[in-house]
Amino acid sequence: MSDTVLMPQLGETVAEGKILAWFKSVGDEIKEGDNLFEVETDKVTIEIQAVVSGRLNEIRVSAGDVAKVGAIVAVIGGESPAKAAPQPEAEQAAAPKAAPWRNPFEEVSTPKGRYGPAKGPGDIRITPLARRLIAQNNVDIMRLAAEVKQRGGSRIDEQVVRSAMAASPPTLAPAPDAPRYTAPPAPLSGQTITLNAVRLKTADRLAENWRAIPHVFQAIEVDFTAIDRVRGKHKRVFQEAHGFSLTYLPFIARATCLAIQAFPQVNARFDGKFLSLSPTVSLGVAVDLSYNGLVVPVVRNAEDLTVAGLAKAMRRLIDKARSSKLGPDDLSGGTYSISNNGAFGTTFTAPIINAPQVAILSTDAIQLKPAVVSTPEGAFVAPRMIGMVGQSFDHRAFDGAYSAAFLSRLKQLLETRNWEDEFAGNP
Amino acid sequence: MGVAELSYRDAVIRGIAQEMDRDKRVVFLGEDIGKAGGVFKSTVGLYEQFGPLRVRDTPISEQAILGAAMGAAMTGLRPIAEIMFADFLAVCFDYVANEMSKLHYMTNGQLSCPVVIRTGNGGGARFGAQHSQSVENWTMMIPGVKVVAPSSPVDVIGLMAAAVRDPDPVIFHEHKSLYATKGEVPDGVIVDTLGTAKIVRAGGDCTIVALALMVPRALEAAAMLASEHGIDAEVIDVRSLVPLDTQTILGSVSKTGRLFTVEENPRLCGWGAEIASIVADEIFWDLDGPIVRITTPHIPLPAADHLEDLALPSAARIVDKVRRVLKA
Repeated sequence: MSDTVLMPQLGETVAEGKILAWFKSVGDEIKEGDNLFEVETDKVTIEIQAVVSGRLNEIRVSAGDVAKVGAIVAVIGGESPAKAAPQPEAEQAAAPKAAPWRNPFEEVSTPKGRYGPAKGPGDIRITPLARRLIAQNNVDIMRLAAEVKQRGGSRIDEQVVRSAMAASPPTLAPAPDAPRYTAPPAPLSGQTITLNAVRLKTADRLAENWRAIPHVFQAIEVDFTAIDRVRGKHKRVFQEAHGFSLTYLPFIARATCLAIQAFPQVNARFDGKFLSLSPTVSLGVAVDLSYNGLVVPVVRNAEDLTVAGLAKAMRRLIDKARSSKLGPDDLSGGTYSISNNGAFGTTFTAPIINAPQVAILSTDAIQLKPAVVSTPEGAFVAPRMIGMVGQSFDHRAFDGAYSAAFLSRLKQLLETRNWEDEFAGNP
Repeated sequence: MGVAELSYRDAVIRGIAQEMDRDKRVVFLGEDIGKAGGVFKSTVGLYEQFGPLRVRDTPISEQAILGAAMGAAMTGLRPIAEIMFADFLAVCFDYVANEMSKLHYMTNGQLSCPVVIRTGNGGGARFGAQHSQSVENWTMMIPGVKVVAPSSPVDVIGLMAAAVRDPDPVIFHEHKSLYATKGEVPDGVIVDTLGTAKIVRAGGDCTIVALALMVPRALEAAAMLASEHGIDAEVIDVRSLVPLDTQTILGSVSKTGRLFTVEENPRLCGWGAEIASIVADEIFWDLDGPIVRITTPHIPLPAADHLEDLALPSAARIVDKVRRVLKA
């Protein structure tokens, strides 16, 4: 008996995947758990392991090709196709096509979008399919309604729309969601870069978020000297205990979670009518994939973690992201995000909000700068660790004063909290 | 490679024999299944072929049958257990709903329960309200079991093989009123796949999904709709309720824009309600009209001939409903 290898369901809304590479060749003996192939979807690149052992007898989808979720990509075990005896007809008729794996909470996936109201002009009823066809093909609904009324009918269905479309092809430009083919432009000069699926998806999302969300950007200057002192004290022990260095980011993440307690509206989802506050903080951390796209894996229940806990959780996600091991569950459900650009020495960044979230924090370089320090003896200029912390927020969700108060609270926490307490008992 | 005509009843015998022949761990137990050959004569010859150790008559106790089958499965055998009338699943429902179905999960995968529960389901044989029910929906709702209900002899053999070879408990609904029907079956070993539906008639105007006895009735109705009313219906044999082949169903309804379910189970919480819900959700924008369910009403099934015939969906009722709905 042979087993088929199917293109897995790699996310709630993923319909297909591109096989980037096969790690095994036809004829290889496969052991359960062996890496079989690498697949790229619009969300993530992931290695797929064999779930059965046996000989790899057939590869049906080659590297570089795209296959729908649930499609057979390879066959393991059984007789090799060359010498397999012809199967009885009944067996062939029932070629395996087991249902693809689905997230148990997303067994049914609701389509996105709406195509106009159920009732049209003069209270005429329009079937869902007819509504979609009308919207996608820019059919004149007034004319359809008049025609149907004239015939004594009360409903616009598929047939009505299709016959109207056949009679007069649409003259208007096609609706934005109708599929349109555009030829790739001839290169101006030099090299043309073919963008990968992650890059294209990132591009689509960013463009849509930038278009739909009225962004406002605010930034506040923060004195990180107190944190720098605590960080300096624990850096070596932390590095020895965990194998990576303690950066400013987990401190900022911790302070953000604490500030959110007082300003819950920044940790929310906006859906047009409602602002749904999230009871927990699922903190997205933007990770650059060596200039090849951007992913935002999520630390769940971030509010329960200490600085060290956040550092470890973020490190794990960043490692997974950089080695293309993120699963769909690592990427979904963020309620607030942080974009950290400090490594390159930038002064400030205005990031694009990751809808349906309503705000995103940006942090940049933290470096020694001359700053004015007030003391009982008077004001002095002193070298301090200074950095900008900014927030882009959705102006539909709240106003500038709320965002400013949040940033002010964040600054206060970063500068004056007793950070030493975070390390009590633990490195 | 020859093809022979075989009855649904003989297909059950051949399907069990094929698997017992292949795998010594497959054993078969139930009431009167041995020397008597089964009350529906669907196990004739198995006792003679495989002997009293592997084909066992049991006392009249459904709990004992499923308890023994579960124990046997836990200790390495692959039992097929017969519950004579599907109505009696209620007698041993604890084993079905709480024990077999949860074993693999609750032992964290240390144990599994590869049991096939064969059972005579459905009406049309004048057996009355306690021996005629179509209870596939009772079994469909239990997390941890798989549920199939074949409508043709070739599917009986192929799905029986798939059920026996599956590591989880599978409820195998045989339809009592289909035992005498015949169909073509090829020679040789037949193995099918759980979780797959079959398009048994292609068409473009509407999709009719049906199960077990309702499949031949839907096909009969589709032929009448085509010849008398110019309606070209696509008919899908769902075959497997768990796992459910939603892709085939959604693909068909996307194409036709209309869905009818033909269900022998009573209307309330029948399997078609679940399919209607999935279709209304996933492909709402492909629907060109309401989803319509044609079912047995929510009543205890009468024993009187003409009343039972009236209660179960007939080809004439399917034709009438589809025609009126599509015309409206």
